[in-house]
Amino acid sequence: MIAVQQKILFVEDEEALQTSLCSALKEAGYTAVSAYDGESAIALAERERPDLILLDIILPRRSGFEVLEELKSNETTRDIPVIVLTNLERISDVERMLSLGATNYLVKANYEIPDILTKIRQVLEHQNI
Amino acid sequence: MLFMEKEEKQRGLRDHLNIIARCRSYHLPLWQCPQILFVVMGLVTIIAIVLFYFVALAEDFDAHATALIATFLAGFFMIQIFVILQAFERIADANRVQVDFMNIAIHQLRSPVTAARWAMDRITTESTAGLSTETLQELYIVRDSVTKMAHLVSSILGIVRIEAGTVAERKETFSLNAMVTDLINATRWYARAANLELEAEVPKKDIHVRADSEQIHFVIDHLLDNSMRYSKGAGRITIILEEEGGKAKISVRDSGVGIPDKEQHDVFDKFFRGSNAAALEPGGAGLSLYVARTIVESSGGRMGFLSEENSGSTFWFTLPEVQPAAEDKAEEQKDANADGS
Repeated sequence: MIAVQQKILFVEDEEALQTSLCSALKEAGYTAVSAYDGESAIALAERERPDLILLDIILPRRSGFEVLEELKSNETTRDIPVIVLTNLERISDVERMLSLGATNYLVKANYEIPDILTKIRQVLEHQNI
Repeated sequence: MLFMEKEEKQRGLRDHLNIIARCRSYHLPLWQCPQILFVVMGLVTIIAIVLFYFVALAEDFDAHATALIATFLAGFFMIQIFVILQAFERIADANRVQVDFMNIAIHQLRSPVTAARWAMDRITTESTAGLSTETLQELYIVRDSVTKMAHLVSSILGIVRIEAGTVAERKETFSLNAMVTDLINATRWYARAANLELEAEVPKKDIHVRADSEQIHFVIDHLLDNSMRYSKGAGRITIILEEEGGKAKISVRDSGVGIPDKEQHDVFDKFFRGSNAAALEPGGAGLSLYVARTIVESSGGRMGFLSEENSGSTFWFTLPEVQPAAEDKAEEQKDANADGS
């Protein structure tokens, strides 16, 4: 269990994925906040100031690329680590996201929920050093 | 409006004449591209005709007749080449559209399959208390089917990548030790359910390679999956990571049905399925080994196997070992410290 509840913003338009991962995040002791499109992701990141953001790329309204660009250009959200969680694997997408400032790039189809929780824990611990 | 149409037409013409860009869109090397071939064959034809003309002059043929024959032959060959290459171009275009469509379709399929897999994992690993044995068994069937579907989808995506020529484009340096350990942990539930013992021999010293980590993950995952799928009843599966002559080597050994001798030379062919494997698991597509070997070879490695029918198989692959850069080492050290804190 985590002493102080850390907040994770999960940006994903697939309802089923939101349900599974948010439940797992809550069980792992995090506070989970959901955003289903790019615009609300930016608004929620600014308002909630999460400790970490899990970001999909294919999103309604604004894409994950636009969201990440906006987050990294905003002083309030610039330092929040962003793990890209998507099913796109093209080299150009990976490179673009990493160059925009993503901390990690994970392909959803290749990961089970416990693996994603491990990655989140590693990034947050690394952030707190 | 007219101005815009003119602009559009000019852009269309420019795109049409930009041979290099068109060749790139087919994902073909330049020497195999229809447009480049047309230019090269046209030049070769013209040179051949000019040579013919001078030879004919030297041999004192009638100049007018020679010029006429040369011009006729040049025109004839050029038209023929044009027609053939137009056909090639149409095929290449159709193939590109098909690959793009498959790519989109597979990505669309991946999301619901991932959602189903995550949900099933949560149900079967955390909330089974109070369920009857029958219900639990049915849940395991659903989970197994979803896992199979996920593997099939990633195999088809692998095929699409091979067709599009985009295998192993991304290179990063990573440790195989952590990947093997993670995969073993993720696979343990399946092995237990199938009454199989799962063992891993992973050295303490990290073995680093430079490749696309997601694709190498696919290779190991599918080798493990095959070894479990084709083990009949109780048995043992061992995965070994070792260093061998400057290369990283991973072997997956099982005590399964093995591959009949006469079928072994076809193992890495697309759609190959061993006769005994097909009898045991009729649902497989025979794609994963083809995709796995293409990934390994595109990453500078080799893949092979040893197998004996009814005794088991050992599938192995190698990748060139690399030394991580100083900054990677520092990063890993930091991660290790973070893990330990």
